[in-house]
Amino acid sequence: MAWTAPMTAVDGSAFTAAQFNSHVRDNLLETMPAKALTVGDYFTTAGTNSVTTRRPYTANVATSETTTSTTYTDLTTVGPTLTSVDVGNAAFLFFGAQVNNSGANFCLMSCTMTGIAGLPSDTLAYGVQGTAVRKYGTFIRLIVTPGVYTFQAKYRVSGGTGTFSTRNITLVNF
Amino acid sequence: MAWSAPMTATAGYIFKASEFNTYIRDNLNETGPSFGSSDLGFFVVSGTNSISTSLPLSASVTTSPSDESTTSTSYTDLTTLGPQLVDMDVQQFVVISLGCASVHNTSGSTNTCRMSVDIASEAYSTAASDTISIANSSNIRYQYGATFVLTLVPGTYTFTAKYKVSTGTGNFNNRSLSIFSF
Repeated sequence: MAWTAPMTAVDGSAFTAAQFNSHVRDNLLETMPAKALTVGDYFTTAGTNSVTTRRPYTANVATSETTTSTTYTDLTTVGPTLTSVDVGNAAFLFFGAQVNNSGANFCLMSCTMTGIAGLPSDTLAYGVQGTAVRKYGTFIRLIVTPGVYTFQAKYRVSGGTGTFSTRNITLVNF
Repeated sequence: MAWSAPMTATAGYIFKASEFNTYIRDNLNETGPSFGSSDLGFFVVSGTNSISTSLPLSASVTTSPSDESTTSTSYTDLTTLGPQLVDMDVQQFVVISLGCASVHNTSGSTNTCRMSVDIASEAYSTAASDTISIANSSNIRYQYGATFVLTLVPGTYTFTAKYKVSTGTGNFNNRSLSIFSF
């Protein structure tokens, strides 16, 4: 079913069963309460005259692990990973971790996204320089073809040894 | 009132007033536009065939002319409480953004100043933790933030920012807390 622009009634015109079903029943079934099924979902537009539900996703890896790789790689515990997430047209992808380096070098955290070339990338990364421990994050806005995607965090350093813990990625999509 | 699956009309059937009231009036009163003008924000699912509104909230604390500090090694309040957000209805999820400027009086990886958040309702509570926190172990001031998603049980919550250090003295300012609830 789909939304139909509601008819305009005219004096003396019989209101038919077909009109009721199309303009009242079917349109009511396109409204938010008809599509409200799972607590915690929120509503976004899915197209012209169409609404759908979305939900946020998050994944964490607490373990403190290291890398000396200067290209993006996995740590011993891979991820965190958001597997087979239904993404709308736009999304905010947040990622962060507690990070420090053995020297005055950068630690970088980015992520892969299935079917999207060019990731992981320093352009879409959270980075911290130096030996001081810092736990922050960043976010990027994704504009993608709606579909099902898997996101997985990747890590690299510019030099030295990078230590990463309490690693998190979160997706809020629309 | 509650949502009722709309009836299917058949040719020649007399449409009763009670059916109009149930399937049209009452159902229209469950849709988004029927919510009162005081219900700001966006729409979330609050149950099967039931929606409610949710409003993103934020609060901040800036202390002038100086930072506020702590030497507590467990999460605690600073002189000025918070920031704090009260009476937030949560269906299942919250997106929490923490931000502050922080500087430790001594640099070193074990000298960390940290901001987290206490989450409390009548039904459920979770204390501030390092997992949901932002941290800086530098004696150079940094102002950053991070965002987290938590799954909670439905309820009305109070969120209160808390602070600690691993050792020494941590100084904090420009403290902010922003929450979307779903």
